[in-house]
Amino acid sequence: MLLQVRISSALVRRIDELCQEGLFRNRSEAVSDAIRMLLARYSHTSPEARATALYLGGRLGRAGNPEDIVFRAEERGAGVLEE
Amino acid sequence: MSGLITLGPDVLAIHHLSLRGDPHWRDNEEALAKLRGTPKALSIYTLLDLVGMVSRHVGERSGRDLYLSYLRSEEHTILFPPHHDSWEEHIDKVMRFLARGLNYRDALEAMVIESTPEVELYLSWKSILVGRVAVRVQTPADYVSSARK
Repeated sequence: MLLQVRISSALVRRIDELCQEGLFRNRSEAVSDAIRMLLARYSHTSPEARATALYLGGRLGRAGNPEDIVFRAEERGAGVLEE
Repeated sequence: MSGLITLGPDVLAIHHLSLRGDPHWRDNEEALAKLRGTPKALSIYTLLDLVGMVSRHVGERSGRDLYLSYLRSEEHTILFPPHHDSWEEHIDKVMRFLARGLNYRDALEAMVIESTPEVELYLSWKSILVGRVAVRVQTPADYVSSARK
């Protein structure tokens, strides 16, 4: 399948260097390997880790106030904070 | 982001775990109610602490859900520490805070707070932080009474 992507000339130069070293046969093989690594990385991450990545990238939707979440544990006292 | 009030883990734990047996319960709730609707912050360390406490006393699912709720919150900003490239760099930075007599966990918190210029007040019941963090530290009770004046 043909996938057209726009990447910087600096990155292309680095990929070409890796190809010249013999690590990859061509740019396609290098990019395919990078995509495989990317997919492997995200297939093992938790929803919390993925949400953190979205948050840090400013791409996580914002809604609600977590202070509304209160668990009923009245019998517990100050000791909880010292545990 | 300006004049941010940052909440400590003790303040949020008393609230979320509904620790009515804690002597600070009433003042803690009053301070959070007073701050309702205003932008606030908490460090990622505070949030992770909170997730651990909720997971232990309520359950894993609740801890994870709370984590996501804070990331999505409209009112809260999560403060992350500056990235460090090496352990040497981290030790170098954290040692300056440990030298003030803070434990490692409080030193991490102080590092985040002091690297965020917008933080003007840190709310916590921990008196050890007063004078050891270069940001004004108040208990929720003091905050409520100063807000009344």
